[in-house]
Amino acid sequence: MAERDGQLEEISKQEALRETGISYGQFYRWKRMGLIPEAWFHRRATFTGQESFLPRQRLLERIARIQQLKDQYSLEEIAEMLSPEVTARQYAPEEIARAGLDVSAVQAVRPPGSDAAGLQFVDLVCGAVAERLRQAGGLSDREVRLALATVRAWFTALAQAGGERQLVIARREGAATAVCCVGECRFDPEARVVASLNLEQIAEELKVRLDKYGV
Amino acid sequence: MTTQPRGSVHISGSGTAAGGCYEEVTISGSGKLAGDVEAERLRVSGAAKALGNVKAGTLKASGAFRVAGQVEAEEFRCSGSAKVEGGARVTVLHASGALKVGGDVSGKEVEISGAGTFGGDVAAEHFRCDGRARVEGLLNADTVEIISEGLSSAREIGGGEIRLLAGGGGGLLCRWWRREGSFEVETIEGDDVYAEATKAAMVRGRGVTLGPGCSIGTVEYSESLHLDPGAAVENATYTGSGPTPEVITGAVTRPEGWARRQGLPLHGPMRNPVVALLAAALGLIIAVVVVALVLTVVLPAVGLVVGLVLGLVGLVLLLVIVGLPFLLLGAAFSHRRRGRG
Repeated sequence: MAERDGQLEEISKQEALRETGISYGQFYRWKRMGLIPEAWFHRRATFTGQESFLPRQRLLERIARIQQLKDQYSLEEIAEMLSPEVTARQYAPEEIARAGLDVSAVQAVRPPGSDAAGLQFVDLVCGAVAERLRQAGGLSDREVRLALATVRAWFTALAQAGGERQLVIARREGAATAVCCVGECRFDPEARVVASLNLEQIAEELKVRLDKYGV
Repeated sequence: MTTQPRGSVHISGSGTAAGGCYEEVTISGSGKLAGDVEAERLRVSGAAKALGNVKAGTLKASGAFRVAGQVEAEEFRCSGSAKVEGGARVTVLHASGALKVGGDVSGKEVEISGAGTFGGDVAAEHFRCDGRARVEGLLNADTVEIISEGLSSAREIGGGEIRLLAGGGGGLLCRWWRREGSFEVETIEGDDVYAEATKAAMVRGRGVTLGPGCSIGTVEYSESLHLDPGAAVENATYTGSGPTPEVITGAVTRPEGWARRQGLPLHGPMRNPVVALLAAALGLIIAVVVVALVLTVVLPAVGLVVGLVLGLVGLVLLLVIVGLPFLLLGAAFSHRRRGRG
């Protein structure tokens, strides 16, 4: 996981508070509202007991963003902007187009029979996942559909599980299987991992994008 | 969501309702809800068991209420015993009696009088407990107020204003047989922390006040630290900027305005060993006096009364037994004499 050096550096909660000047009350309130995602917390043993550590850069950026938005918007509104998967917010197709995302591609990956109007955040994630899997190649259409169904089923459910959500596709004796897991995923020696996507990162990129275009 | 008019179910006596959407569900007696239930109003008095998830506008339960799944409600009020195996998402949760939730609880206002046991995290704007609270995970609230009877515990407590108070106050006598409440927490983090009778590895806060009975590993404070003589702290570190403010030592009182609003005394049950010893000694003396009184006064007095009564009864019996033949004889003679005359 060396590709994200800067982001891997961790910061303890109290250091973050000292650096940003926010209070415990604020920190815990933001955590409660999903503004600081559960997935960012890593509990580790230190000489003073168990401590929570968070990804430094992401946390500091997030805190700065909240501080910047909080005079203008209520915390609920900020939560919708920054953690849409927690609030089940719906996006209109125009909004998605405004953020420069391909609406038809997103709509194409939705399961048949879903209503046409509102797109949820998980739909956008599925769209991005589909695009990356197709780019990577090596998977049949059916296998991609299977992987998307897995993401759809588990992405929201695993939001509060603590740890980074991954999608891993492995092939064994020709057949592929998609696994949505938190943290790392280990297979038997005969299985070969064909694709592995960090869903947390994909979601984060989407959120930054939506945020940037004011959606 | 369907907009068609929904039906209502009323069970009185004993019965089972299928899962589904209802306007109103009432159960008095014993009832079972098979499957997921959604209702505007759900009322239970008696015993009820929901086998699936429960979603309600207002959910009121008194008696024994059990949910195998999750609870989602605007308002969840229970008295008696309530057990939710899954998590609970509520706006208002008021419980009196015993409440047990297996999963996470999130709400705006959580108030418990009695015993609350939570298997996961509890997140609320205001959390208040009069009695015993046990949280396996993180208790996260803007204001945390616990007046503990017995032992309350949490892995972590985090928030703005944290007040951990030992209940069980009262007269000296009261304290002799009822142990004061206490807390066991790994980490406490808050802007304004006040704690009594608390055992914790780490306390972090802006302003920290530790009352009698506290036993803390490390305290990190960024503004002020106030320590009662009855509080034990291994390390105290100032984490703010600027020169280290002096640690205030001396008898600690509860936050005054707050305590007054809550109708609480300014001092908790004193953990002073001398007072505790005195209370115990007084209790012992009273016990000895009571026993001695019973042995020397009450028992003999009872013995005397019982003896007297038994003696009287015996006397009466004796008179009757001895006197009866004479009486009968006398009666017979008087008959004969009258018959002759």
